[in-house]
Amino acid sequence: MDENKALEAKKSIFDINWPGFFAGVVLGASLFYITIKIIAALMFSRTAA
Amino acid sequence: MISLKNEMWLESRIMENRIAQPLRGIIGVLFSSLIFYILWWIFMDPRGVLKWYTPQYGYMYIRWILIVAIWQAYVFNFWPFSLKWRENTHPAITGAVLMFVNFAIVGAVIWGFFYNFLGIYSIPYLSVNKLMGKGMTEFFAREYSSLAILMFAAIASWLSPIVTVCFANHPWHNLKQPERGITIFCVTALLSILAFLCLMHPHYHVLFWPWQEYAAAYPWWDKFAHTLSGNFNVGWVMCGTVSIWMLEVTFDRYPYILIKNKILRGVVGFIGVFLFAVLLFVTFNFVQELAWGPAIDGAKRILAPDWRYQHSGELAIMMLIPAMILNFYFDNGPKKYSAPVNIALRMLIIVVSTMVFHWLYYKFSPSLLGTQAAYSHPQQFPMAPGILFICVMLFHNWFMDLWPGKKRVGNSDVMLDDDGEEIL
Amino acid sequence: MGVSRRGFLKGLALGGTTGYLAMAGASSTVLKDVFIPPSPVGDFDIGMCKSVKCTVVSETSWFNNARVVQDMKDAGGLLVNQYIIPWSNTGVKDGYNGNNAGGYSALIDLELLDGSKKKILLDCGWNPEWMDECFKREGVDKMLKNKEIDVLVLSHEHFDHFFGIESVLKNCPDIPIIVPKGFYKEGFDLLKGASFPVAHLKNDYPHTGPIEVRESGKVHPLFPGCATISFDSAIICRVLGEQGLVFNVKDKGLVAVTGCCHMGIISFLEEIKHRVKGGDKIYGIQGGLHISPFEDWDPQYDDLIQALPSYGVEILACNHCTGYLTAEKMILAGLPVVQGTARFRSKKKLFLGNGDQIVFG
Repeated sequence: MDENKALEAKKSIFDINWPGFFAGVVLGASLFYITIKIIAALMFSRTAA
Repeated sequence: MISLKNEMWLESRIMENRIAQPLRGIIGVLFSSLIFYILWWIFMDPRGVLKWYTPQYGYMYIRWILIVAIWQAYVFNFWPFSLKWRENTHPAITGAVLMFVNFAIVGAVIWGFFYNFLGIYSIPYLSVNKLMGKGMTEFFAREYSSLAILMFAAIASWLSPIVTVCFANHPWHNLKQPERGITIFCVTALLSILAFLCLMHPHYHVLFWPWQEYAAAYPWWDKFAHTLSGNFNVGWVMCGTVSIWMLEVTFDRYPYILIKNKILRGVVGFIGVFLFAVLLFVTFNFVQELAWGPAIDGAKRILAPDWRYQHSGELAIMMLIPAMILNFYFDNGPKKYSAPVNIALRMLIIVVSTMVFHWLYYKFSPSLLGTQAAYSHPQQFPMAPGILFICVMLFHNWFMDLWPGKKRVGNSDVMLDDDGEEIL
Repeated sequence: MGVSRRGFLKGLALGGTTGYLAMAGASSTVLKDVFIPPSPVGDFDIGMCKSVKCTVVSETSWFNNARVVQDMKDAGGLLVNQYIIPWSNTGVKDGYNGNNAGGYSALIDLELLDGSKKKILLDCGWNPEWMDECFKREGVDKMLKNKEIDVLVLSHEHFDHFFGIESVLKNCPDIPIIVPKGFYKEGFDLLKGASFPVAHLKNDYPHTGPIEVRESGKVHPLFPGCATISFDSAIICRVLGEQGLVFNVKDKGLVAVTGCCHMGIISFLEEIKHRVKGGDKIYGIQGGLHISPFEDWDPQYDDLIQALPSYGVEILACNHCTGYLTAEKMILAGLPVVQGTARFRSKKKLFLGNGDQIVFG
């Protein structure tokens, strides 16, 4: 919560490494896909109460 | 010009680990778990002393403990207790005293304000005795009134922290206590009451028979939520609470903290918190459909649409608990990378921990906590023990500076200007 | 760490968080149908029968609501094991000879397509003295003695559906019994002749016949046109599991018969729809639906009343733990609730009571 550090970070916020960002979007989306696959595998039940 | 130490005690604390990690974290979790378990056994456990977990009656006390703690720490900055008292008193004593004050206020609000004032002179369903006077059994009179009373607190727990976390207390940041606390309390209480009237009061239209057609609106969410139950709103409001607290403990107020103007930051932050809450809400609903198939209109238990909404809130709490443990007890995970990387790693730890915590909870809750088994029984209500544990962690952090694992070695000398910016 | 690698990691982290949350939002909304498996259409053929007649032997599980709730509360609440709750058996003004316990039991007469008949006794009530009187009234005692009843199906282990087992076994100790998965050791011990003095419960007639335990997650045939389905519901007083019966009546459709339906009637109908051939047409329902047994309410029950008409049910013979308030609201909503005669200590004519009958077919 240090606001000075935050403001410094802001200066560089528009210097996003775009290749990294898009690689991250794909990675993040894949991680969510894996998350839901794990949940479906571990939790699926038609008779759960 | 004001000092951070005078006006924002929590933010000004400089704390060091007295015990090295990860032992500090483990001891901290055990300490909170012990206090939690003592409180749970005395007040809540169906096999314990007072047996308040029914579940709504006990949950009502727990929700009010949480909002009163937020008032004590965030809204009133521990007023009327003096800065000197906080600085010089042993954390065990400050913890005990502030916890006792919390419980006393909770008792006064529930018994004084709701049961014996508002419930008698305004809305009968807020009073157990009024409902019993209409022929209702005590058990249901307590459950119905408890649900209403706790929802005021639940909504306030979502809205109140937004003033500090998103608005940095603007535009009231220059007021001294108790003026600042009273102002923020009044504004958030008004908003909470309005939200209650729109989100929960309609539930009571259909709860009684004949329907209270003149006194409350018909549940306006019926068509798109596929339920008349106020649980639809309970669910997303819970997600709202988790959203604001994760902004505070996990996201370090990013990205909103990048907005310099505090009012703009507050407005954007409020919208962002709401959108993140909606995201949590729809995602947790989706996760349940993956596990158990879609909800079915009119069904009960695990297929009930209204229970699914409530359970989304419960799953959100199961995510907040690891997030808070990571922050309070394990220094919020890796710190050596840049902020986005640290936060992404935290999220990874929290998602995995949530799944582990979920498994542990449902495996052990009947034997450890006295809840019903499985997921959807009405007496299986993880929000009650979950939020009580959160309250204990907050007491440990806010009232006791995380003693004995951490020590407050001092407070920041930072001074703030009229715009609330640090004077360098 | 080099600036470009640090920058790449930072971008990766930002993108990763964004991607994770965006995928969460997309999967939960616009892509939902891609991930949620479609609900199966029932294909299990349970055969067909000609008709099903249900006789309500007793639907008055207890005589004083407040007393049974107080008994549970005094014992420590709704999680306490029912075998150690001191149920009030004396001094209850509106009880049966001072005993609050009554019981639930129904006799099902099944006529098969070839004209032959089968008899199923669903549940055996609670108070053996009350059950003896009810069995005598409907001739069930004689049927048991003459071995006319083919099977005792226990819907679930709750006290008001099972503790009266002595009344059955004294007349037919070797009757085949079917229980849902979830019965506890105490239940099996009771069948063998155990007693539980705290709960004022005993069985002096050890069961000598076969016991079958039916798992959840499948359709279990019983007779042509008749099957059971079990559910894993966790219910009060430390009870687990409940089963319901489903019949396929020729030219009419499926009929669901329940004890208490703790799993929920919609869940039961949906399970039938997903497992049983012809399950999209539910002709009739009979039995307890456990909606407002203590005359409490929850908007969830209004959801049920609003949703039920879409199942096309033509005969709604609910009773017992359905609750009078529910029945009243169902009737106002136009649902085909079958009225009763309020005889033999059933309180209101709003639904089927003790001694009433309904025929499907």
